[in-house]
Amino acid sequence: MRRLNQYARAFGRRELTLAGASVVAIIVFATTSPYFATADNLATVLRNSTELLLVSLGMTLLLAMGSIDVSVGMVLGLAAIAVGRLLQAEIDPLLAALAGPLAGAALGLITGLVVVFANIPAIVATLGLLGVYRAAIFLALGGGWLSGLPTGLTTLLSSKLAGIPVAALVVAGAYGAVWAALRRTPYGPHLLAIGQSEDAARLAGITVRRTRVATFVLSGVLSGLAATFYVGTYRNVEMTIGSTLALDAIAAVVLGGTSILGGRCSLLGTALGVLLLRLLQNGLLMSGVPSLWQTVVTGVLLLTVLGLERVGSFMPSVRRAGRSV
Amino acid sequence: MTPPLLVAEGISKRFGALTALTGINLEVRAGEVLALLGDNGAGKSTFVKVLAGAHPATDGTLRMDGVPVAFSSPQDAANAGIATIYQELALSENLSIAENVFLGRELVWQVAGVPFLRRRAMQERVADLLHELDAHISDPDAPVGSLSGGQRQAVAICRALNLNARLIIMDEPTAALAVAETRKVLQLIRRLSGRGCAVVLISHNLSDVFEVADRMVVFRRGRKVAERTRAGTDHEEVVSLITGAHPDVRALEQQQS
Amino acid sequence: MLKSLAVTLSATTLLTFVSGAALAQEKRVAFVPQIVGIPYFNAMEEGGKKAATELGVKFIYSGPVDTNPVDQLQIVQNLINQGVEAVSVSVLDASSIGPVVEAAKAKGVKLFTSDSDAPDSGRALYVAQATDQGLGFTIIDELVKRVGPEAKIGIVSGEATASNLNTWIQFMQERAKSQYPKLTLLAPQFAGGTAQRASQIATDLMAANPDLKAVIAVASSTCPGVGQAIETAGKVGKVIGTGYCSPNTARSYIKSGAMGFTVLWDPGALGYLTVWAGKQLIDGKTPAASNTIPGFSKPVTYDAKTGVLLLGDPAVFTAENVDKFNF
Ligand SMILES: Nc1ncnc2c1ncn2[C@@H]1O[C@H](COP(=O)(O)OP(=O)(O)OP(=O)(O)O)[C@@H](O)[C@H]1O
Ligand SMILES: [Mg+2]
Repeated sequence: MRRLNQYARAFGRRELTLAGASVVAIIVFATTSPYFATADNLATVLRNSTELLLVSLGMTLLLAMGSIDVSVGMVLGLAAIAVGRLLQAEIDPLLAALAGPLAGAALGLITGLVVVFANIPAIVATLGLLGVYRAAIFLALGGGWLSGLPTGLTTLLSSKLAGIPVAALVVAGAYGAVWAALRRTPYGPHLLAIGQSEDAARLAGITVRRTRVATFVLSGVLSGLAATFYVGTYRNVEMTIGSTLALDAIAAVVLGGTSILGGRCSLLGTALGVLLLRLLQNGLLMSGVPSLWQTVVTGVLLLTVLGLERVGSFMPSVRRAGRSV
Repeated sequence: MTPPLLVAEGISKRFGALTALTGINLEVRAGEVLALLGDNGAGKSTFVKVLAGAHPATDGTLRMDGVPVAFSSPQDAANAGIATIYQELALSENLSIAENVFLGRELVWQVAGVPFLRRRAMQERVADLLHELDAHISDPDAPVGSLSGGQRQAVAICRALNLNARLIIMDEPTAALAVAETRKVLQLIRRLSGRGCAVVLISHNLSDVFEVADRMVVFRRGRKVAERTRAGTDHEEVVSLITGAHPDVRALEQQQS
Repeated sequence: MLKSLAVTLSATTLLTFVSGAALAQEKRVAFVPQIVGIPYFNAMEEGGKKAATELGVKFIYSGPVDTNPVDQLQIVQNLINQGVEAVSVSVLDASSIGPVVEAAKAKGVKLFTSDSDAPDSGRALYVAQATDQGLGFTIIDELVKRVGPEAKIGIVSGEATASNLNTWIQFMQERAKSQYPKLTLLAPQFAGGTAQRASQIATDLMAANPDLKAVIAVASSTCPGVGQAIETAGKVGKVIGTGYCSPNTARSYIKSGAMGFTVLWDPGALGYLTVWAGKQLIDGKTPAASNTIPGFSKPVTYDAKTGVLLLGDPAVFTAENVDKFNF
């Protein structure tokens, strides 16, 4: 009984829904396009999910904490510029790779301090920062693009360790580390308590501000890590970099069952949310569905899942399964 | 004679233009149950929040064991042995019982500077506490949001007990509870004072108060207007003190205005 | 705050420029770009400078530090106030330029547009970089030269709402239909603004259509994504990438072979032509229907009815010539 319950928490109703939806999507697309259900194509879907998986992981923590950061795409952009400039300067690719998360941490710290100490609602503060960061990207790029960057980083990131792609290892490592922080250290209960009620968390003696700033830094690190992969994959930094990233991440996270109101999160749900979004994008395109309909399908999916939850929340089992991480 | 556990001298609290408390003098002794009474908005919750370190006092001093103390956070007060169960129950609904009981004071062991939760130890401690309180909760891993009002109250009390608190403040702990659960909380209060713990209880239910309180203090409009022992007063007098109909209170308020 | 400071600064630099020029009694042609500091307009500035020395006028180059129409108008107004003889603008907001055109006329200043037009504003003429039709047709013609008239071709565009991109796609489809009926153009896919999505789409298109011969990146922001996708998929030599990509953006992909060629125009030549047009206007001439201009391989046409001076056919950038350009 006890074990079953634990299992249900890690793999709750939402996660089952998403996994089921993914399976259905794979079956449907396999019939509509002969090239969909090939190992190559599914590997492509996974590879294309790397950045969104990382950014969404940070976003999961922020939403669970009752915060949000709509500037993550610009953080990725600035960190990508840092990585790109170092590559241009012919720095060792490994060092350039580290510059991504480092720059992300610094930007996350700025965001966190602004949100927490200016005491502005996170959505407003990060909307402001979005503008500032975008201008910074523009200035840093000087209107041009970084393109045709050296291939050293690409080689590094597309290599394999023990037969497993580095990207997969990094993503799995990031999810594993965050899972451990949530389930095995005081950070988890503190984060969720803050998301539930900041005042209650403060009364319980949690150092609310420090935890919040730390979470923004962590999210920045993950966005910066995503930037490293972005530069490694595309070898260029364009002016419009990251422009839709925050919305995609929020959609994936909410789809995954993390509450936009805070206090509840699911890492597995987030990962499944990202994969489902990417599967749909890939499958619809391969089936020859026009672009416009692809966004409609994603939108309808989001609304359906959230609508189902509204209905489902009257059932006690959903509440029980709610707090899985 | 040992000094009282806690002494408040001339405590005042202003929220901007609004004066919530004016010159409160009050003592709490070890092992006693002290009831704070008063109308809605009289300042009871504000006063206990000052004791709990949630609000800094605008004026006045607090002493514990005769030593002046200044609490800048709930954590400070908790470290000094004051635990508070707030009127707006400060529990996190999505966390488990153990997580709530230990929230902000988790048991950890450090590995390379990383604090890892000692979950087994915490669960065992919570099981002991629940047992001690005679609270029946079938699934200790359930989120607190799925518990009944009385069960939540028990969790909040567990949290206070777990601090090894010498003073436990309860702001309307029975307000939302049915008869049987109210009884259980009152028994708990007695058991706590029996262990030498001081309890400050805020309640609008006078029969509950008369059942457990050793002393009663009445607040009106941010001032302390009366102090009685249970033996030295009765229901009716306390009601008139609270409403301001009592001659002493009227005289006092005449003087002030 | 910063912006207004910048405007003031550029206005001040302008003042010193202008007064210096006035003393020399030299005719002046100004060009106001949409924004300063980006490679594209830098290239136009270079071309303009070259024309100014060759044609014997003074060239003034000044524009807003970000794409703000109000700042741009203010700069144009300042130039008019200084009595600069000819002022050209790459218009940011066509609907609000009317009043400064009036002000220019009142002052006897020749105001014309270049690179981006305001057709109904009463401007003297418009120096156009290329026609939408030219751009659409050229990319199809160039592709057919490389992949034959029966190939299957994918199209990756930017925002579905960008009217210029959609117009180019329409002309591509028109050209395919009328000239190469066996050519298959897949329905355009829209990647928004990011290279990442463009790369995903290009990858998926190649996977879904193993017989795909080419991918066209319509929005400049989709160029690197398309190039990268072809490289990553190991399809260099099997699939040709192309698009409306500046040489700087496409250079590494053109060199790796992922992109066979790209189509755009040469902003340096556009800058040159702009100053040439300004000189004509100052001299009280309107361009002839066909004009021979030094350094231009083909005569430049002028349509007196629409007032459009056309740079010519779009430029095609390939591995052979890409290093001659820097924008
Ligand atoms: N954070 C605050 N900011 C401003 N005013 C406050 C704040 N907290 C309490 N007050 C005001 O202080 C006064 C006393 O409130 P308090 O909550 O202490 O009353 P109470 O005696 O606990 O009442 P009740 O029996 O209804 O709980 C009220 O007028 C209240 O509006
Ligand atoms: Mg109260």
